[in-house]
Amino acid sequence: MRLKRSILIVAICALAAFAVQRFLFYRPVNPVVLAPLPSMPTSETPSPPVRHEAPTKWLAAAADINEDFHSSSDYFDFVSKTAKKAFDGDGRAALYISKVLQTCMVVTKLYGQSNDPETAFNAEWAAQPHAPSWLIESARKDFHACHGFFNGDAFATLPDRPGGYNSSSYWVEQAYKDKDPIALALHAGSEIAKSAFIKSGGANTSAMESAQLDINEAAMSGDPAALFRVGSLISNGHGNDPIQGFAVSIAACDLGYDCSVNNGDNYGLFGACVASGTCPSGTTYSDVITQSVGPGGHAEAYARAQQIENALSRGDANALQPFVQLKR
Amino acid sequence: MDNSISIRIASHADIPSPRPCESLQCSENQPFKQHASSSPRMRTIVSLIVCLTFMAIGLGDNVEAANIPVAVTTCATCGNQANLKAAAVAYLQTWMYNTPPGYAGVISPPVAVPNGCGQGTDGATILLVVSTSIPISGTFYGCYVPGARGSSHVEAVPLSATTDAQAVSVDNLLIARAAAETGPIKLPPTLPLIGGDEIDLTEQYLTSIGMPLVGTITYSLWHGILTLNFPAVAQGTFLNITTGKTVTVWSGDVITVTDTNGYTAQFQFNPGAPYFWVFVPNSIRDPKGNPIPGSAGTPTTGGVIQPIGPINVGLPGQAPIYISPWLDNPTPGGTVTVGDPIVMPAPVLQCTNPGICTPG
Repeated sequence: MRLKRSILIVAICALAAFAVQRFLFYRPVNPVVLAPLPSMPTSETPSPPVRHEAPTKWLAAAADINEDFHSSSDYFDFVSKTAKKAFDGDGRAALYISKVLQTCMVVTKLYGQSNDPETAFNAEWAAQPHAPSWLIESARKDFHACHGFFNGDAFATLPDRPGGYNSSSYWVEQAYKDKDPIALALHAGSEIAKSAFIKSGGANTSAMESAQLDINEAAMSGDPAALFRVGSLISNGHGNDPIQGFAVSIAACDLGYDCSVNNGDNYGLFGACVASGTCPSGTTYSDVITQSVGPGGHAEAYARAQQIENALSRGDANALQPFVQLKR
Repeated sequence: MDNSISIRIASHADIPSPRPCESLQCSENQPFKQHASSSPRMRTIVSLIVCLTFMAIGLGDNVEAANIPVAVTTCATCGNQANLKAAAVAYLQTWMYNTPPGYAGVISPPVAVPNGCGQGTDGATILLVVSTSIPISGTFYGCYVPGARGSSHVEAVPLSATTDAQAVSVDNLLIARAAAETGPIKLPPTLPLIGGDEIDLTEQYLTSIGMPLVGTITYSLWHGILTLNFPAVAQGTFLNITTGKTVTVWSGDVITVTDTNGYTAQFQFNPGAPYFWVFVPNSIRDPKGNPIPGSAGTPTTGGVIQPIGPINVGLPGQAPIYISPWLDNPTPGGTVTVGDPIVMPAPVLQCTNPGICTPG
């Protein structure tokens, strides 16, 4: 009897050990364990959620140009007024010019060479029976906002340049040279995308290292919009754990980036409903995070976001580093 | 060309430490009985020691990586799952225990049960058969079916995909063929792929007009876990205005677009880039599918994460092992590599005698 009981105890222990082993090593189909980053400072107790002030001087000017851009119904006029500033080294101005040109050069290409652009526009979309009305209206808005580019030169006040200035990539490059934080984050995204196509392992590593440097600088700027882009980049599979990028994005939202559907810059996040104005009221990026990693994951990301904000407020690049480190 | 996929999985088959069932059998051994007959306190102590020993064994079991080699072959005449299987049989009958051209190593049957089909694929070479005529593919392994008078022949066993629909599904999971699901995407006459302007105009056109995002970008842990390289992967729902079809696309998926001259090019969904749709270098083809000098030719290699799918290469009853190939070559039959090791649980074993266990 005693022997049987001992065997039973041993058997239970063995099963427990086996279960623990399986729990620890069984990865493929179980929910991911949201462990802290290996190099993450663990001794630091997350601070209560506070709204930190973004530490950069250019944010007010950046907010102004952001407002100008989003309220503009005439992109030609916007670029004409902004070109000199951008040419003189205002990276954020250059970035918004590139944004305009991304849209307007396509519109110009599609309709601007026609004798009657308006008719060409209507004919083009009439031939698209599958295009939803919100897309057509969005295209119509762009068409009218870009109309001035069909015949005008928005950069007439700038010195001559071979090839001119109607190149989005030129202005993105200028913004990057001017170290605009968003341009840095965009450049990091391009480098990561490029790394997917690079044949040589060495060149691939170089691209990722370049992306990391850009990300570090963009994040340390404290620019909420740049920080949000960094978070989005990391969230797309380039972090060391599933919620690293979400934590960065939450920090960006706390620091002032409008993470809601009301922000026109979030079309790339929320899609058609931003363009059509039909997003559920009150939807924010937090909903995306919760949908992706659940309430527990969101809470973990939020706790880390406080650490990120603390690191930024102290200007502590070392403390920030683990949170923005790309997976290698 | 090396047509192998090196799928790294953790396998306890290589681990010499005691297996759970063996250990249970060992608990009947004499030293344990001697302690068990002592005082209740001693029994408790001994039980705890044994328990801790088991835990040490369990926790200290280093999960080591093993390789599951995957051979890739193409089939020009495969139009359905049966054709794929027939091609697999022909391939396996030809190359079993041999080295096909361009393949490193030999094509092998399952190690644990070499003469039995349907008893597990552990150790077997996985064969991916890709149709080059329509977008389907299948995965198989070879094993020996006993015949009359001691003879045997090689049979190909599908790892999944028992129907054509499944074959299409497997193909979409393994090979970058979002285009197959998306349908044709046509560019306007003002945006030719050859002789036109900067390619970023086409990237912008696709992003804002031709293939716009219609649903919220979300991040899938599930998908990220299964890809084994990414902790999470972005996905988005896009509308192909050429066909009106909406498709869910994962980061890294590739679409093919056609201009009005019949030229084609590939664009990859990359939510981190300035445009969602990023031109794939060297992907332009003429209307006959020929690479454009200076624009195509050498297949791109390295690090384009592909959609993945569950392919059960484990023993019956085990959780599936997920294969996550990295497509180096958009052309079927190209070199494929994989990412991080897959950790899998210990095999479930049936023990009939002390120390004698077989896969259950």
